[in-house]
Amino acid sequence: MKSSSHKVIVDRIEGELAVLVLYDDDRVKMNVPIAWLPAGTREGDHLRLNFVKDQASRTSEEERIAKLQEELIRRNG
Amino acid sequence: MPDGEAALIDSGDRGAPTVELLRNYGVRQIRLVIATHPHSDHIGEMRDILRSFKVDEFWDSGFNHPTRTYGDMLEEIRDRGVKFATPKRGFSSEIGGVLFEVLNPPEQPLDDQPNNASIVVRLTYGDTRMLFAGDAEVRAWAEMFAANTEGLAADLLKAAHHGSSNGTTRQVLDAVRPSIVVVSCGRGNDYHHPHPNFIRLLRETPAVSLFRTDLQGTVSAISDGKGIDVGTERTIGADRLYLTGDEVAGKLASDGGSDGGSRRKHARGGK
Repeated sequence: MKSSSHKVIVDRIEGELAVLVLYDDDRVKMNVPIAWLPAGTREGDHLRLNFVKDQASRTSEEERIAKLQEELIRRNG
Repeated sequence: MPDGEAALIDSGDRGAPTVELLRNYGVRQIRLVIATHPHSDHIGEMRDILRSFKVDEFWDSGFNHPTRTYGDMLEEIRDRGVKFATPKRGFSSEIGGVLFEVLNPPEQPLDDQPNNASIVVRLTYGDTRMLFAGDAEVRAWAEMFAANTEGLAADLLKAAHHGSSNGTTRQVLDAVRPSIVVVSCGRGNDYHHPHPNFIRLLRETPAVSLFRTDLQGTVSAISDGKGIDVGTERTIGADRLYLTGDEVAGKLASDGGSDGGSRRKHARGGK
């Protein structure tokens, strides 16, 4: 399974959202629910953000959509 | 400032057009820069400011916020040999004909929140006063009320923390007694700014004129020492002035409003 990892910093917490800033490029920011972050995360913490490709999930969704497309085409055909 | 010098309080987030705006105002050199606190939406453009203008002096909260943005800003200040200070409550200095009074932070940090370490500064020119509150929250305000027995009165209040529920309360308005409140917040932001509680408070206080950057664009407040003349980049209808941040976010798609700006003269200060 392919993955990539990035260092981000919790710049601040605004209500229920944490504002994460990419360490290598502070123009890149993302708002993430604090509930998604490790318990006890606070402003100034450094985190690793890991993206893991989920091929099985993609394949499953492709199969579901293909079935729906076929069904709709048959119904209107 | 009256003698033609410039001061800057916060830079906006990384990518904000602050350098361009300052150049459009004819600024070439900045006598004083204040970074109220080290969150990126307040200091994100500081490095570019320092690279674009000669800065004589820099005031910082001194709060250790371990972000790269803050570290890079400090490196730039060091490398350029800019005079650096972390003024605390009670410090004051007359710069460019304007008195700068530091109302926060205290000598000892209140807590581990950068917002409460904000440099809160009151500017006095002639009979007029403007109070810039950074992102000070309730706890910092409580300390300021207790420490400043002569009061915090100002004609103009730059609302703390972008109009959040914890930045400007009834107690703050009672202490500052402003006739003008300016809230700086991004249009359609994700953080509910300005918050419904803030909007309700201002709506219930008709003696205060509210100005907001998300709907009116750049807000300018010019003092001649006797009164403050407030202008906006865009004009909006009275029905939209008291929209909450979430309502603005929901209304962006059908947004109207005139393109023309406006100016309003406000009464003499002297509080």
